[in-house]
Amino acid sequence: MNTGSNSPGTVPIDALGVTKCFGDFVALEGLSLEVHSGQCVGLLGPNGAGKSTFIGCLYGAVERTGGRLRVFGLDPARAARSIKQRLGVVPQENALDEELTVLENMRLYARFENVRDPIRRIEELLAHMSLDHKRNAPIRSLSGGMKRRLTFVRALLSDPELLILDEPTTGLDPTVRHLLWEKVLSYRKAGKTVLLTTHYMHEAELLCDKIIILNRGAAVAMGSPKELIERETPGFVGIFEADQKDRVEAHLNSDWHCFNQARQYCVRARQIEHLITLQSTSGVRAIQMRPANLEDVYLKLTGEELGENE
Amino acid sequence: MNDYLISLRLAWCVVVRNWVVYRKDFLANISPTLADPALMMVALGMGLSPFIRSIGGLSYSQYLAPGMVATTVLFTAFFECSYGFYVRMTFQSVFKAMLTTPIGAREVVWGEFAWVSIRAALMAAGVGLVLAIVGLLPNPWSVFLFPLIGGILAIPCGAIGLLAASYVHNINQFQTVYSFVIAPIYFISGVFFPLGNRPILASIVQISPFFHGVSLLQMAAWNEVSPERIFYHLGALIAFAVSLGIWALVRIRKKLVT
Ligand SMILES: Nc1ncnc2c1ncn2[C@@H]1O[C@H](COP(=O)(O)OP(=O)(O)O)[C@@H](O)[C@H]1O
Ligand SMILES: [Mg+2]
Repeated sequence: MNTGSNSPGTVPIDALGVTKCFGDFVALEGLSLEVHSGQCVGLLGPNGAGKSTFIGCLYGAVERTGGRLRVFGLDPARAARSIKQRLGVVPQENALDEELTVLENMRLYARFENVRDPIRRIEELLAHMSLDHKRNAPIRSLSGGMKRRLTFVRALLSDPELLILDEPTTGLDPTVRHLLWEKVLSYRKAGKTVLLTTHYMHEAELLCDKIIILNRGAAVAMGSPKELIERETPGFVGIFEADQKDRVEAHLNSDWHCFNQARQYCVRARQIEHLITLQSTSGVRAIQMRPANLEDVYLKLTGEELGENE
Repeated sequence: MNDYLISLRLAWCVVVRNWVVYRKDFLANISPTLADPALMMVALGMGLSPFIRSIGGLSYSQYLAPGMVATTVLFTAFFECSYGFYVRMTFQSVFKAMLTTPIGAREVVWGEFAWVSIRAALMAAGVGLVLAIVGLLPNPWSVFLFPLIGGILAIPCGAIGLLAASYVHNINQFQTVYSFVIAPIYFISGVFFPLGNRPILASIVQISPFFHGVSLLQMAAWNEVSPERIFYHLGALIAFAVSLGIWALVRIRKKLVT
């Protein structure tokens, strides 16, 4: 697992009780987490949970108000520049210069990052992200997916050890999303470390070996996707038509969980056989039966009520 | 490499970024800052000159000339650092991405100052050259001093712009800043009329960095060499540049780093 350029066992991100207040508002409340080198760690949580705020703390764009934070062993409050030389960020907003062309944009950033042999590096990454045919196109003429891929190019210019992705695939079509997933996986294979935030549970399950679920600025759960499912929502979920609720409910066991989701009635049981039995005793066929997944964990832990910003 | 040398290199990157964007629309960007002083020369210089007696041996056009250099410096620096910076910061989110690179808030502000200072120096040289050619500079050699004075004067003017960008809540409020800060320091500065025989105005304008810049430009253009006055106005201008510059840096850092 931990192979590659980072010496195994080092901890690129080490946070202990990190707090951030905006006036009276507490955006991060004693967040503690570790990202080990070679890991891909996912930060999940509702809008306003504090994911982007934490990411900002890592490279000095946000000044934490409390707690201990080390990135590559350095304190971002003091050594932001040294830290930034070693990481790449895909921010939540693309923030590309719309008037400039693809190449002009990337050459500026290569200059900011002091990249050696910038033209070669840019061409290599543009080809890697299938954007080489757009090198002379103005940014404003690119599609959303192309812009997002270009921010990946920008983040990778300096060949960083740590890649930070803030909602990298939000609003993109499935083709682009799959392409980006594949890039993240190959980047990990090269031994790099990744911290990403996402609202797509499938994405988190696919890419991350550790997940941290944030709610209102605090971590409410941490572990591998498997561990989290096993700990929080083990078993299988049967999904029924909402109007069959009463018929199904009459036959439930006390250790099964039932909940409403998207106008459907769901039952989670330890074994799939339990659900099959439930079908026959209630006489109602489930629309679908599936293993519990990260989305079940997420919804259980963050509550089904809407987040701060909704 | 020394920490400050790296900062200088990164601040230069900000200058390059602004230049690359600026040259995309070069004519549209450069024409207003040249049109203003040109129109003013025509309307006030040529238009009013015949009705105005000479001022200390100068025709009104000659009196106005160094003020036009100051005008282009003030407007170049103020508008770039107020509207221009505000648009970069809020609508284009330029700094959200820039701050993920080794560039920090300090380099952004240094870069903006360097950018307006260089631009103002070039504009001052350009306007000065035209004035010299049409014979409105009693001391034509002063065109070589204009870029130097203009480059320094651009710093406090740009700092006022950055401060405005850090205080406004929306882009319309720059109009208020213009009306209550820029217009007064512009119209009451010695550009349009001498302040010498109006003691109250003459003492109030001492707190305006623009006035000291105008005074230096006039001394150069009219060949009025007086070491004490040079020392006083240059000292005041540099003091304003440093203090307003530091204030702007503190304010903008608070805006960029939350
Ligand atoms: N500069 C700021 N001033 C005040 N509140 C802020 C600021 N930045 C973020 N917040 C608040 O902090 C909370 C967390 O924001 P953020 O980290 O962006 O959430 P997420 O990325 O998880 O959606 C939100 O409620 C947001 O409104
Ligand atoms: Mg966010």
